[in-house]
Amino acid sequence: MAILVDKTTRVICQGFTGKLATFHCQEMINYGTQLVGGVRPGKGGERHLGRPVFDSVRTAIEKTKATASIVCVPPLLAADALLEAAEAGIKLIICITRGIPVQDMLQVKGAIAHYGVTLIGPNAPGIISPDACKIGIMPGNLFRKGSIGIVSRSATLMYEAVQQTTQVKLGQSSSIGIGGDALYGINFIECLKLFEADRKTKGIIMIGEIGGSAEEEAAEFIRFNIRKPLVTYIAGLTAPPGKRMGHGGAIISAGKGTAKAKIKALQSSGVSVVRSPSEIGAKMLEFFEG
Amino acid sequence: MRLHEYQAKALLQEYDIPIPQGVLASSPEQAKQAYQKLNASTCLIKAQIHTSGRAKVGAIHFAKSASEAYQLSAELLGKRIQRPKAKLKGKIVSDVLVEALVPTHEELYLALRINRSQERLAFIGVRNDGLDIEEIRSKMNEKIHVVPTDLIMGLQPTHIRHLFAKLELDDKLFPAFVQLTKNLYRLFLEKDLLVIEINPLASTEDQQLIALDAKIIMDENALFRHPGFNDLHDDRQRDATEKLVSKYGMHYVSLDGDIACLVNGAGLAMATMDLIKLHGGEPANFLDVGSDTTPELIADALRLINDDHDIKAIFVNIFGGILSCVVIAEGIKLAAANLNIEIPIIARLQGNQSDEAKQIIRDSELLVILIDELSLASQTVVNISRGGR
Repeated sequence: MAILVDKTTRVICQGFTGKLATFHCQEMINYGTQLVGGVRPGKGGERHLGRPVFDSVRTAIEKTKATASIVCVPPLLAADALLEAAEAGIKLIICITRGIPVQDMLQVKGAIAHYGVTLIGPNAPGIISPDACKIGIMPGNLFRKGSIGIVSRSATLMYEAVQQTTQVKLGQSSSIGIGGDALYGINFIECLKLFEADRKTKGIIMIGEIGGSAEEEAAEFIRFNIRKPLVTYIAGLTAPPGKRMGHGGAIISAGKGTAKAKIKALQSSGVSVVRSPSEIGAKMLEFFEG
Repeated sequence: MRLHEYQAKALLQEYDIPIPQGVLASSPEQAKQAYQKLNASTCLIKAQIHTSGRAKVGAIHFAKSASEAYQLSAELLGKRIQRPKAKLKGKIVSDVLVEALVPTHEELYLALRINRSQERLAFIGVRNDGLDIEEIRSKMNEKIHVVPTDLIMGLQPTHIRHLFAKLELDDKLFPAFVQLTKNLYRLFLEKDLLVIEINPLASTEDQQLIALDAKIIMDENALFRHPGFNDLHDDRQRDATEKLVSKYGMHYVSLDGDIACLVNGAGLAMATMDLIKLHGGEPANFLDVGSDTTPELIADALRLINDDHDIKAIFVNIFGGILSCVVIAEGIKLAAANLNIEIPIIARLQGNQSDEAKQIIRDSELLVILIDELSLASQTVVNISRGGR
């Protein structure tokens, strides 16, 4: 077992017929994900990538029994798509869309709290349980089925950790990119909880960056709740304050959200923080060889 | 997207929040006329730049006559104003706001912003008694009063009463405070703002509250809902290279080192800067080329970095997910063919099509050093930037 997704997960795509969605859905199908259909209002009844297209998430669920949805719609329509998925009964939403207005996410987060839905993202690469299910835009060939759970705000740094854990032959149980925006769904603590409880996961890698206080909150949680080997890395020690570093959420604002403070919080919880992302795999291996 | 003080104040005024009388001037002559028009014995001459703590960096002056207004604005206009410790070039002053000095009673700090960890909106109030807000943040956290609300609950009278009580203001100010907070909340939601900061907010003898300074940050992602707001963006406040590179759909931030970075992904781009620093070098920039780029754009970005100040080495660090390393390799080739790049390039190409990309570089006979291991690549680029090989 891995976390959140496995071979039985039935997935639809919202914004199915778009160019990027088409490319990534084909990749997901090739990987073995059970992509059972897609949604594109106005194109219900058509077929795309050999799968049925529906006008609404509600009909898609009725006909396909999907429980997960990958949202690839443009930013101005994204909030509506997320709310539609939650209301229709989707239990796991993966939102790839980048550039959703912050106040839209504020509204979405408030509203979906009542639906028992897990949201990954937005502005996230998604989730993968190697050899079982990939819902997202990550290159599947990097991953090897194994024992390390990875959670990261950055996609590229997640790939670095994946490549290294593959190289040291530990592999991954599941890997989640939670996204680079200021407001987002599943957070470090929730992912850590899932990995800690998952029997296949033997070690956890957490990759954070400047902005917000999610890493500090995770540090507090880890102190009493995580027993498995944990390696962390925080990006942005040299980032200047007040400048947004690519990600919507990567900004040191009013002196808050520095990498230094995050590293300090993690270290004071006894967590190992590597200084270079190139040390992640080797550091994790130490736990298993020591 | 940050607004200038005068733009922020225009928004406040639109929402019936009292501001001092003021006139924008872009020449000393206009400043002089503004002084005469305002008919106040003392006027403030305030440089319109995207820098905080302007009073401390000589961006705000007092004029007691029309000729003083002329002279002070002549000194400010066209000048670059730098923060004390900053190494980067300061922001250029294109306009000054000439404002009538308002006699005030008490001053406070009031902000409305999105609280990320609570995922709510929060009013933040501080009786700063003339103290610097940064100083209060670092030393006197107990003076900072936070009153959160959320979109579903809305701003309720209880929130306003609570904040008012915490601030220990004169009861006579309560009606003005209620109006002010309600208007701020409406402005914040209707205009998709991320931050409104009024510092100082002052009380007057006649029990009014007036915004003496204002900082507003808008959500750039929401501009499609506010088409008129595109004009509020002042590109002159940005670094020239930042402006150009952002046109390519890339994210770029100028820093003051001598090692240029070209990276995909915001996280890896930050990590690359950190690694350069860790190995004893200084990054010249943050650059995330994104996943949707072309060889032409990569070549252009390399040219811009090359044209920029004293670069000693270029570090290309790519982990291709969706982005193919071949696009980057072709971009490097194109850049080298069209310009005279004499700066050494260290390239680490990993992930999607990295073998093909490395072959393209090798076949090109360009002076590009290919290194796969991240720490070694970082160490090498730092060594080269210091004149070693």
